[in-house]
Amino acid sequence: MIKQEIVEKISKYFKLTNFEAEKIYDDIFAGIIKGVKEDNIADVTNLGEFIIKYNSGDENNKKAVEFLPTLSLEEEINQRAFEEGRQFEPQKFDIPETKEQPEIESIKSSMVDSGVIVSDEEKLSIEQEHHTVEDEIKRKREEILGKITKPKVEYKQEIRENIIVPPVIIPPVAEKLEEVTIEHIEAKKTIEEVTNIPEEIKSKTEEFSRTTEEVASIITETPKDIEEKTEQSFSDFFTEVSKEEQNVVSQINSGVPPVEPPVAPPVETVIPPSAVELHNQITGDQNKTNEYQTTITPMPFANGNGNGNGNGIGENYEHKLQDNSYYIWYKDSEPNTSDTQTMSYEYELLYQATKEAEYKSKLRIYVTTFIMFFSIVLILLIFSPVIYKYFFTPAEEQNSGEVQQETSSTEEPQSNYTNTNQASVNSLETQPPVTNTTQEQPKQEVTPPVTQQEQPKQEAPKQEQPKQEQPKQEQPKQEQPVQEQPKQEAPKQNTTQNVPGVTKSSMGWLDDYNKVIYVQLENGKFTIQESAWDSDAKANKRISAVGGLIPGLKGNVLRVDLGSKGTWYRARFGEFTTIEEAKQKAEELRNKEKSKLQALLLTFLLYT
Amino acid sequence: MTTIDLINKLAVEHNITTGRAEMIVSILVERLVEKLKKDGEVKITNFGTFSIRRKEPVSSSYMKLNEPIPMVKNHVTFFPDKIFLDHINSH
Repeated sequence: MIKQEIVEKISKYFKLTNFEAEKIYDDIFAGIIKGVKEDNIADVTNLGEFIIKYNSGDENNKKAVEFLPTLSLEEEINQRAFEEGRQFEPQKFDIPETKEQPEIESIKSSMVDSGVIVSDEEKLSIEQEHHTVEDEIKRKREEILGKITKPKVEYKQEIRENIIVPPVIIPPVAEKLEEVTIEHIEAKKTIEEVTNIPEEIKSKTEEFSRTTEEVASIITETPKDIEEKTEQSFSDFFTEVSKEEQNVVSQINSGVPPVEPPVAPPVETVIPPSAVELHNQITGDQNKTNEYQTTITPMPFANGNGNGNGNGIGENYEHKLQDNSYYIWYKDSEPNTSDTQTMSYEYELLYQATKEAEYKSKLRIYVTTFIMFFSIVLILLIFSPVIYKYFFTPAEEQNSGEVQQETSSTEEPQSNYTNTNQASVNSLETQPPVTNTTQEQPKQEVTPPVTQQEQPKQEAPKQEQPKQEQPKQEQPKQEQPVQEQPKQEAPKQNTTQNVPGVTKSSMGWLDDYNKVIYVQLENGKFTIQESAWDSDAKANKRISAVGGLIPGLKGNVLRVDLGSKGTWYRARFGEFTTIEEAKQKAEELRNKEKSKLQALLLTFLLYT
Repeated sequence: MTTIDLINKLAVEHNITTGRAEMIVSILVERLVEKLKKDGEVKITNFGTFSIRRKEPVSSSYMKLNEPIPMVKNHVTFFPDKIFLDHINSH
């Protein structure tokens, strides 16, 4: 059979003839046999291993073949067994017996003997024979839900349904005695009209009615009520008590009988099928799987009947919620046969709880990581200027410090020179001698002649006044240097007056915003003193870095010995005719540096 | 001998690609397992019989509930055919 199926399949899929497919099929098994014979083992994927086993006793069949199935095959087979196990036959249910008072028992037995009423046990046995398990489950569920949702109203109807054609006689409850008696009379009338009951039965029913009325005066509870009460849990009792209290209070307050609140319709499926499936998967039990479904009976009240284990443990596992569903609080660690129905609930709750916990933990991790990352980003953004200041331009701080020191050291001459060039020249003279590099040396050499020229210029008029009579030929000679004076001074005065944000200092013009100094050279042009470093290499490195930022901007290093403050190397850039040009260049330099820093920060953030 | 050897052998003998041979072997195994799952027994002529043998349930406990749960485990057995055994025992 299987050969035919496989052969057909192969021939269909691979467009082969049946003969070819059959040959392939035979060759596969022949190959396995050959492989086993030659190599003593044949491993077939997803099936198992065929291994040769040596029998020492039997000489004819010295070798035997053993088959070791793969794990996947074993799992599949066990899955099948598990599924098979679910198809079970219904079993008879153990109905919990309730203790009844002897008087009620006697009445009941007499009623049964007389054929008036059919006992509940008999009915149950008949139903069990005919009903399937699913019906039984439904019935049990309805019972539970009825108990939870409709505690008292429905019992009356059940009693009516349970009674069979002949006279219905139920010992009335004290609270609803009148209603029951009216119903009883009505039923009697209808029965008399409809059916022809013999007189003996009539007399018996009358007797029973009398006896029951008498008994009812003594006994206020029906056997049904007793059964229900035994099945009730603590929570139900508490709810009853609270309801009674509410009724009394409402009667006192309004005088109107209280109306019971509308009850929500019962839920059809107490246990979701997915939860049952999950439970089956977890346990892998095929015998007990349906017990979880079938034994959805209301838990008997743990009062020492053997179901409860005393000491309050195992009690109160049913807790009614507001939405008419209920959960079971299982706190008993010992195995209890009556607790089987609680297992499925518990597994469901466990599953839900574990899932919720997992979800919460994951969410917590995500949120914390996001918050941490966001906070880091915020901190970096807030402190980016500080980081820039301390990590990327450390030398500028030194430079500014140096400038401040230098300016403080030259405060005294600063007060004196004010508007004159003489003062600036003096301040330059007060500076320690510069010994290195290109431009500073000629500055010192050149400036003295300028001062020498200026001094006679100021004194010139004084000398000229007495010498008015001197020959006129000398005058143009003296006037020539006088004409040169405004040429040299003009740019200085213009630059200092017009440029905002620049203050004059002993070294030159200080730009606080860009943190640079504009120094005037001997040729009248201005250069940017961008930073000062404690070593020549650092200064050169800085020059190359700035050259990379602004191509075409040439820089040089000026060595300055400040005595006690040490030797500093000043990085200077470019030559500009006016301070405005120098300032523009300095701004451009700083802007480019800032943009570069921002790009670095962005890349860092992206990496993080 | 492994499945790859078997596939190569089939491919050479029947002049088909190794992919096709692999497909054929996998189809055979799949069908065999399905049949075994369905019927509980598969008989292959001149090779042997695969059958499922049920073991006694072993009681176990799940989590902290201390509830005994019978764990059923089935086992696949193989009874080689006489021709198979004769072929192995022949010199």
